[in-house]
Amino acid sequence: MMRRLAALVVAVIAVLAAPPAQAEAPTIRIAVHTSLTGSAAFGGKAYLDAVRFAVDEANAAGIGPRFELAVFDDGSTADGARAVAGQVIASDAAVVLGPVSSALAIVACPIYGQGGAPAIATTVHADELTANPTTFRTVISTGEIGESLAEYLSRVLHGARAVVLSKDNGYGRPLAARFKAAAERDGINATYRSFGTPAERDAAARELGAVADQAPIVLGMTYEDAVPVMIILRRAGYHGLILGTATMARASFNDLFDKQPEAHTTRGYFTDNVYATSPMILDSANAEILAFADRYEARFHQEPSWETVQAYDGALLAMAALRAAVAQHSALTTEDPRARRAATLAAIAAFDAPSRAVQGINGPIWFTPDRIRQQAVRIGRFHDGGFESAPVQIVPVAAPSASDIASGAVFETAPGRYARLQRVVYTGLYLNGISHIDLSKSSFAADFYVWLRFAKDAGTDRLDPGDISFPNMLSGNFDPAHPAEQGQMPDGTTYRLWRVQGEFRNDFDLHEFPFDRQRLQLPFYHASAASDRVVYVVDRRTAAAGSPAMSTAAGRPPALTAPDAFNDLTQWRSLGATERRQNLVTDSSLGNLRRAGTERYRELSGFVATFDLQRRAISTIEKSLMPLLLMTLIVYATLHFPAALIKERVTVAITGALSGAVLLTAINSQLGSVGYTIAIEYAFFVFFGLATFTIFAALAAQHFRHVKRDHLAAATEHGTRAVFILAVIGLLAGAWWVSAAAGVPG
Amino acid sequence: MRARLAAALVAALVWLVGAPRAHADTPTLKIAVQSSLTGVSSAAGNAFLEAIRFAVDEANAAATGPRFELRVFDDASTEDGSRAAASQVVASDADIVLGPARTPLAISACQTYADAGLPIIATTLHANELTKNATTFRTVISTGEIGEALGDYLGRVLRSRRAVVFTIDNGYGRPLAQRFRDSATRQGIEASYFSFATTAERDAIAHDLGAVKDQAPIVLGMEYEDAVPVMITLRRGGYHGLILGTATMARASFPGAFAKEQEERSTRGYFTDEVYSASPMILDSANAEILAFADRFEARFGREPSWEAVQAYDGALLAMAALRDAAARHPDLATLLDRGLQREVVLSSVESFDAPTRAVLGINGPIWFTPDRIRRQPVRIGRFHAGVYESAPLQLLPVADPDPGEVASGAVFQTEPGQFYRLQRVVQTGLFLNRIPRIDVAKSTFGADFYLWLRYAHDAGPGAADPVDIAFADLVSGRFNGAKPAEATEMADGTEYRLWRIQGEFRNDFDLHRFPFDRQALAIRFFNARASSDRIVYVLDRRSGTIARPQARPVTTAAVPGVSPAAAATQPVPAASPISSTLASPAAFNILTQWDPVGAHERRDTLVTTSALGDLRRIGLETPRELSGFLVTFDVQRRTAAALGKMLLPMLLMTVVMYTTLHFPHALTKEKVTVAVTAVLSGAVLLSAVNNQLGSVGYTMAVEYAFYVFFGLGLLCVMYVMAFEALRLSGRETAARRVEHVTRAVFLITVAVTAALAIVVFESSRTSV
Repeated sequence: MMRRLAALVVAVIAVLAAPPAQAEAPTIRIAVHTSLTGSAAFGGKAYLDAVRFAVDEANAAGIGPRFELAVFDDGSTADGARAVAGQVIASDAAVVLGPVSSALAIVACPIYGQGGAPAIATTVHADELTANPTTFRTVISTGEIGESLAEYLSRVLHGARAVVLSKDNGYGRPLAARFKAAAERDGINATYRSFGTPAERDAAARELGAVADQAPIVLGMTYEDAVPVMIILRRAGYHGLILGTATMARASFNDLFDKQPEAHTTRGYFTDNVYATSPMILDSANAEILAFADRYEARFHQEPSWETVQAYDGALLAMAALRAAVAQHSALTTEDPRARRAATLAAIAAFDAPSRAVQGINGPIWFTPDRIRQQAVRIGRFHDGGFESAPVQIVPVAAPSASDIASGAVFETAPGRYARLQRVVYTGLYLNGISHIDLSKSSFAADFYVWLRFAKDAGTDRLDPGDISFPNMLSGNFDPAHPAEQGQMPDGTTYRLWRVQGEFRNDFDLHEFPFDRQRLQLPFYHASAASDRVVYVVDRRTAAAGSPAMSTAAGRPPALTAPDAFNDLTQWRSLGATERRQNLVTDSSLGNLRRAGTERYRELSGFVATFDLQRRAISTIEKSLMPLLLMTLIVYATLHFPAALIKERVTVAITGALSGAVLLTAINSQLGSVGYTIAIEYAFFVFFGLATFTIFAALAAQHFRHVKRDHLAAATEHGTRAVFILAVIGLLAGAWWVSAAAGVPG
Repeated sequence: MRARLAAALVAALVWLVGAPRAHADTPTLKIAVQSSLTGVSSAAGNAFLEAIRFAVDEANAAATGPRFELRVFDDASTEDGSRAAASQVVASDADIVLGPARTPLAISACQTYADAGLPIIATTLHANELTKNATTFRTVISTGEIGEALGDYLGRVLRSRRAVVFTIDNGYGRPLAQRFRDSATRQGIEASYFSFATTAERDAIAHDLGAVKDQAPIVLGMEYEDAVPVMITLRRGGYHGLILGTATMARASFPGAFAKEQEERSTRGYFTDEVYSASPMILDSANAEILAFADRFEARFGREPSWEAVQAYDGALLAMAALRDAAARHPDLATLLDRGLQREVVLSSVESFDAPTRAVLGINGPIWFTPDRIRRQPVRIGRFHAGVYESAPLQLLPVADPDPGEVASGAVFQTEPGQFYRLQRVVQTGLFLNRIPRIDVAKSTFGADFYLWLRYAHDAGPGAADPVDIAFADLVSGRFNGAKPAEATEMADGTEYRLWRIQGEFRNDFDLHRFPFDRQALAIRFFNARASSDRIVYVLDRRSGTIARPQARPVTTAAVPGVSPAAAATQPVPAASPISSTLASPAAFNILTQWDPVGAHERRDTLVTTSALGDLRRIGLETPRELSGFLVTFDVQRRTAAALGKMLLPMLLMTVVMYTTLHFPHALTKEKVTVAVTAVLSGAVLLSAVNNQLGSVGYTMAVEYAFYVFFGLGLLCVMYVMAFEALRLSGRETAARRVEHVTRAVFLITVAVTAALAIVVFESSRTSV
């Protein structure tokens, strides 16, 4: 209650104080070149949303310069992109974000180069873009996609053959070329086909589909070409591996096949066995992205795509560059556009090493001399129409140890570049029941299943993903070495299931008791491995079997709890449950000299299931406040005692206060050691105040009678009764308000 | 009653008058300090004097035995000045001399002191030739010993079979080269020797040495004034290999000498990385006595003591011990008229410290002298990394009385006949607190979730103790398995790295005397389960502390580093935390509703046992057994307002009710008693509730005094009723009225005084932070 009041006061002060403070900060304009109309409008709007989100958050922080967006729509056409680029150059914007597709960027970026305007390409893969001297690419290029697909095919899928079908343009050619280079290094025997027209494409697809025992097929094209190719391949009888580009790396890609009859009868008919690269896949993303995803979902009610994350990161980069430029050239806001752009360009170019990187949510952002950001590539796969991180990933290692290289756990992918295999563990938790919650001991008892599915083999890394521990477990029977069930799944993954019963420590916030909501958490962490070796992601495949009320945000699986899981809890009702990857991010190199030079933090892999409960306030109030209510009535009754019972009035009121003290002590002993004032204590304080007030009133009335001023005595009596009743009503109204704010029904 | 008062007054007078006299009765002994308080060496000279004055002040404050007075003489950093100062000292009433601060000044002065028969203690002078003077006692390692130690370290620890020794051709450099040669010959190190007399020669040789490809490790037998230009020439010449230097380079401020060089500005540690130097003491791996001294020194002077400060302090301890000993043998020493005799007595006292069993216990180990007035002192080796000076991961530690079994196993080895050594591991240790989830005062525990890491040399010879064999004695629940680290890897510098994440409940002693104005120290400490500090020391990892901390973005929940300096300059800065972000996560204390963090410390911890523990070799040596450990404390301050509001609001209301009884009419006389007693009863209920929360506390807490005052007021109200009624019934209405007024006044004053006292305690608890 106090906190709310404080929050309200702070909010009022903030509203009053904020405008002048903001008005003093300089305002800098960022141009956004996007497609708000035309065929690419859907992606273009989402792009703008993400950029706006980043800028709004930065402006809300209210420190440093303010940023404004100047939005330009290219109508999804090359002519439009050319026109927009001209407008941007003519504007006063110091930096440009966009465009959103490769075809449009190829037209616009040279114009930005000529105009000296730094352009940050966050979602455009074409390798040739960075030939323009002011274009900085923050996303993997098609060439890098080609190289990573070859690495993945060889190291993880153990493929020794491949067919690369690519489009003969700036998108497909670098992909095929870099795939070829990597394939030769890794000993993959590959054949290459390319196409220029849809007819050539379809013909090539038909030919490939007809080959018996066909090698895995790599599609070097965007989704517009990939969909018809995949339809032809699958219909021709090819159901083997297909490896695709980032334009396919999203759950909605599967919807593009919805109209095909095979997709109606067999979900995932076209997309099963399809892998796609992406700069980010949400289920195995880092803690920063997970936090961003929560904020993004709260605002836009959908999960962010990888393009959204990239756009957000691009906006962070643009703002960091502008801040740095302002710090170096304080007159940046008043100079002419060319000088401003030159300063911003220099500021971006200064982000040229890991130690001088801007911290994006998807890792540090810094550029090589040819304005390319080195970014890890994630590989996802489709299963039954869902898109999830593949169970084994290749992650870069900045500073490998000699022993890791010697053991093969870390391997060289290109001269001077090292990587290791990371396991993605599909994790689920099913709550059988919570038998009790003990506030005084800050604990609760839970009975649940936890399961893991993970790749059996992750190279020479002997790490066991099942070596997990529950840090909050006070007592119980969890032994990671003895699962209740274990076995192999048809997709080659290993499955382990444990039943865990025990007492878990939990921190309860009792400020609003008895109108409080509590969050019970069951976190676990891997006993040793950091998130570069293993990540625990939500198992989205497990079928929904519970009540919809138990489900949470869109896309998250329901069925976290048994229908009767909370039946033993008489004081609580369930509000919902969530489960998610949990990372313990430590902002320290932790004495590791290798970490000190590059990524100065450690992310410990874990998982957490959360169950939200609401106290049944009525029953608690009945139990704890009924005696107090009766005492209040008795104290009130003394206000109607005749004058002759003045002594009894005082005695009853003071005895009432004593009883109140005893009741308060009883409640406090139930709740354990709580150092702050809980909501129910305010009711007791009001009661003590009323008892004191009653005594004063009785004395005052007695005094007036004694001095023969009976009318004043009578007025005192009446006034006291009115104040008493008003105080009680006020208290009840306050309780109602708190309970309504806390969402207590009724 | 009056007699008692008189007795008390007399006692007080006796104490006031008598104490100074008692002090005046103790003899005052004079110690001369020859130092350089002006001139080029004034910084070192003043620091030298400070440390001596500190030791003397502490001894005088202890007020046992004779008092000491310093006679200070400034030699102005010149040889002439030194000669003049020596003559003044000889002419003074001092019986022993400490100083000078620099070797060139000591050569002539020591001769003068010897001629006058005045004992002189050289605490920071390395030149071997000084102890040729019959009254000069050197308590610090000589340059010869430095040369030998560097030779031993190079061969035994760094395992090099080649060396280049580059020395200045004077009394400083020659013995160093000579003793290095002895050590090198014993170990089969192939060494070449170069020496210089002029700066031109020096630079020419450095130039040649730097240009040699695959150059052997270079030993610099010179003071830092020569070493700095030599190192610049060597590094610029392309030599980035090992350099071994002398004690004048052994300090954290040494890299500051290169601060103006371009290479150093772009790469911190460009000149000093891969540089090792010998020193009598390196603070990070120092013993418990020195750590305690360092705390006191820092509290007084606001900086860490250098090895020279420790040596000067130890020298002063030795001088005072000698004077005490002399005074014990000649009670009239201070009043002897023959100054020559006085000094002779003191000289013989210093000479009598001639064996481990007759040593003076200095903070840097026992002080006793060989017949040629030299103190045997272990040499510590430090190294630089990115501008930070730290103890090298392996040290050679002398073993006085080796165990034959350890000699046979190779754990203890002989460097020359009769000189035994063992390898000591210096373990760089750090702790990072993720969070403190709870503090349970009633159970005397707190929960903690933290990372612990150790970095240590891979190999410390046969039979070496395991650095990861550590135990948290206060861990009540939770798991720590040293054998199962979360990370185990090796670093580029050859050290092993181990990281653990530890979550558990730790026992902690809470001091609730000032509750609810209390401040608590949460201690997380571990000790090696077996090894004493002659085998392993856990020192604070200073390298992690040097990482530039990036800043968090305002909107993200999990802050990660990597912000560029330019970007960081304009990015939002998080609220300053009293605890360094290298030691704890910014959110580490967020979950505690009753506590605010106010500070944190981490340091080497030692469990010192002064008993010989039945080991016959230790008996009489006054060398305690030190168990190696590490300690981190987090200081938290209770949020007093919340605790007070919760506990004392009901009592405040009760106090008001009780006060109103003083205004009750006569008709309510009985109720006056009833209300007072009921209020006291309510107070008792509240007090028991408070006590239940805090657990078993054997002493009286600050809050209890408030309750006692409350009970006292209850008693006052009851007593008032008795007195009032008695007076009224006896017809003394006026007196009864007066009692009533006085009682009200006493009541109000008591409440006001209690409130004022509470405010004073609250303020003092805040300012003590």
